[in-house]
Amino acid sequence: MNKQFYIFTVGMLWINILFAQTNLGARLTAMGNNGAAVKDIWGVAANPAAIGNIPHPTVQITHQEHIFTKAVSNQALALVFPINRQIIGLNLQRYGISEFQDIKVGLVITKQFGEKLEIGLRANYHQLKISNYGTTTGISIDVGTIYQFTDELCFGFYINNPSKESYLNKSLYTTIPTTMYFGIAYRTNDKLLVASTISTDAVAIGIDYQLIKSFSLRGGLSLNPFTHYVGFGFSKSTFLVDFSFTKYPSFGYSPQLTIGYVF
Amino acid sequence: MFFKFLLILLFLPCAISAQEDVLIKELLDGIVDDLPEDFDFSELSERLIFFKKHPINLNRTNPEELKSLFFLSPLQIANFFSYLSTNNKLIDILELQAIPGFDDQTIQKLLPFVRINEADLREKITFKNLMRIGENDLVIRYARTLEEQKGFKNLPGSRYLGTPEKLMLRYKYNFSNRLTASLVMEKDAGEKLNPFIAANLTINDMGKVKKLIIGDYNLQFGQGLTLWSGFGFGKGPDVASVAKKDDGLKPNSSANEYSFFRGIGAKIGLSKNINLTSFWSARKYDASITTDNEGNEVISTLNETGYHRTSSEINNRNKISQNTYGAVFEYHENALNLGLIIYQSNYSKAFITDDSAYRLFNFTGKQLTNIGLHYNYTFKNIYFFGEMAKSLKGGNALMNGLLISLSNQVSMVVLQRHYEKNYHNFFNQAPAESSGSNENGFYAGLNISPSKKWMLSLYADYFKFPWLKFRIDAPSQGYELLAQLSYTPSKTFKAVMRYKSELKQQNTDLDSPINYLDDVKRQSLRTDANWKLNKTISLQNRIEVSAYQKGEIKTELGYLIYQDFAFVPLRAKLSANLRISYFNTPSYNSRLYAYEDDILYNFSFGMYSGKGFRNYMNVKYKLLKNTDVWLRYSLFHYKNINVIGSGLDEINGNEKSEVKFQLRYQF
Repeated sequence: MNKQFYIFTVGMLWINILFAQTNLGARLTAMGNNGAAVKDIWGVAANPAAIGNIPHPTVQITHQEHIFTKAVSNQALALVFPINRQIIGLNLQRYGISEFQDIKVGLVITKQFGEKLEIGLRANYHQLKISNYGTTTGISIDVGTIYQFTDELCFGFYINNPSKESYLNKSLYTTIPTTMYFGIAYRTNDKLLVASTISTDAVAIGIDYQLIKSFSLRGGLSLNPFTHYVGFGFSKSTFLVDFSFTKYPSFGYSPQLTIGYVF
Repeated sequence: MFFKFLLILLFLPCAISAQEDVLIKELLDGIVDDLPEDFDFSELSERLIFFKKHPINLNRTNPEELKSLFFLSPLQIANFFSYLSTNNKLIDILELQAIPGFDDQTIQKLLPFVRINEADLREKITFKNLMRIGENDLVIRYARTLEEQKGFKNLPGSRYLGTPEKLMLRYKYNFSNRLTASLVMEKDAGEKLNPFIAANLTINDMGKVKKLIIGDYNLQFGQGLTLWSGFGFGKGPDVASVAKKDDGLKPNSSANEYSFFRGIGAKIGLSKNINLTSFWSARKYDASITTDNEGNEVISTLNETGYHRTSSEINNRNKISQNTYGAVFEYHENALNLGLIIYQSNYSKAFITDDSAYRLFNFTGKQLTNIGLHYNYTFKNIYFFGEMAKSLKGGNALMNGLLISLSNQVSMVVLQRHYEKNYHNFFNQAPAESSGSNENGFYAGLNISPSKKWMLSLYADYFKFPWLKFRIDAPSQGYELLAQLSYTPSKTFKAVMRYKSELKQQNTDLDSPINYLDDVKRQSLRTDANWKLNKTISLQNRIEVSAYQKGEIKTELGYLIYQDFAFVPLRAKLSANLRISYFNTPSYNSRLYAYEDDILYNFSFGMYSGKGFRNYMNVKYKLLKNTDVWLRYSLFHYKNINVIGSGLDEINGNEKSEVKFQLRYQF
């Protein structure tokens, strides 16, 4: 009983810090949880414009745990489906412990405008469930854009919930956050990508370095709180596996595994 | 009054800033906050001035020599030698561009100090050659604060017993880098004429004995975790500088009185791949002495300042003796370097710890043995380095890092460190936030140079202190960040923007029933612009803002603005530079530091705290073909105060000015 109580209170305290950010898959997580200007399928959870140039239907699922307590975990799914010059994306997110669960479903549509500009929109359905308190839901809209400035340099910007929607149950203190993200990505060659995201509540920087053709190493840092990330990824024709490892300043480590398939 | 002074100056044709000065300025400007005041950097400039006069022959050089060009990274040096071994000798200096990691900026920096020759003429060491080819360099310096400081008044208690002049004499002899000798004598302000003296005689390349030093020397090995005396680079805007480049045994000709060895040291080539450096040193330290419970004299603190001004400082002078001896084995083969260090130091009196909890794990006793193992290895575009060390009896320390050139534009450094709280070492300069013990940390740095014009440097260092520290009554943690962007659109203009932020924890100042730690956050943002108007005149200016916040107390903001002018007419005998600056900080906490041009060999940093003006000017005049003189006048003019400084340094009034005079005679 004591242990449960402990896990519950500590979990409630830290859960927002640990998983308040949306899960961006192991690749972007290893790069410092930084996806505003990185073209990646996990744009379905980060910058909705970032999925604009994915040529084939792709799916990835991810699972993140916290070593401090296995009870706190986080799962997510990303799916994209290109139709002509438009891309449709789906994102499912779940985090929490059994007593406190947050579920988010996002539907994304992204369109390319010329060679350089992409704009994306995401509609989210949120559900928050707290044992003995009941369940509440909410709806929000996010918007994002990516601009390929040169072959090497790419800028991205997105804003979550600009219209400041909230949960239907007004007695709840938790809100659907409104956050702005600005990103820059620099690709020096096929092997190296350096990216940074500055948002209204954090700063992150990360690199993705292709050591050999099917194996990449990644690392990142983010501030507020000061967090280190490392990771690696394998890809072989249509399959990929990404792994990341997050180190928080005061409460330990969190591993994450992502697997994906390109149709 | 001082404005009049400055106006006169503006009409003087002037300048001193040579290329090596600019290089050193850029490097030092980033590390100044962590260095003791009054540190003697002359070694750095002398090195560059020497190589400018006697450029390194790239076809005949060795890693040790290239390491002394401190702007080269270890990876670049390793790449250079692997290029030489596969392509034989360089035919043209432009071939440097073909070596991985040698970008344009590095080559531009390197060019003045290197050349390409088939072979070197080596003069024999004979008495005739020593007289004919040897170069002599004599520098005499005089400095004093013009206003009377409290310590020089006829006070009843503690006061400065000597005179307010600061004097220095340095003589150096160099016979084509094969035989060198130096003598340094220094008297600090407030001291009687009983100077600090450092001297050495160094002989290089005598067959198996590659180097022999008699007198004062430094030992710099590995990453500085086990054995490193004298100056070493640490964290700075050149993010790769955390990977130390060890010089091994080298003569000490600086006036720094604390960290060096005195005795004899030799580097011997045991075989093609193995070198042995063996040394013995006997020297004295200043210390305050107390008696323990059994009536024995013991050391309560070691004094590192080197000041002997008051009767108690004089009384503490040379109170204990230290006897150190040891050996370093170095093995190198292709891309691999390994080193094993063993040495022991014995003290004439024992160290004790007092009752303060934070000193609980400090070194006690009379004898300390240190062992360490260091390595570096270059694999393709990755340079691995590290060191593990142990103090007997005491704790362990470990650090590992890698420097990786991710692409032509991006290089990265990561460094992990774990120094136990009871790791004891008196010659430890390992990369660290505070000192090389009681600290764990992780450093990551990135250099991005997308084109010749742009350069971005970033680093983040996260650290934890597992045991208490001075004014920190609990385990604590913190981080340091730096981002610097420089833009050089042409050879005549450069702009630099830098943001630095540091968070540490400290005992709260608030009166609360429970003592707890408050976060202390320091930030600074600066912009520099350098213009070269023409061949004669260059300008530099800076705006810097600093912020300090402890706990929940309101952030304190300070700022500094300066304008530098330098006039260096070609072939004129007279050159000069000057600075006009204004600073305003609410307290010492938001103080700012800035590099100041000084007379040759004397790099200095201004600490700008309070509110007022800081102005200085340097004039150099070529008296004769081989004789130069320098004059410097500097002034702090504070507003709204009538006492400057504290303790014995206190000055009545709102101005503090200093004059310096230096004469150099080369023959």
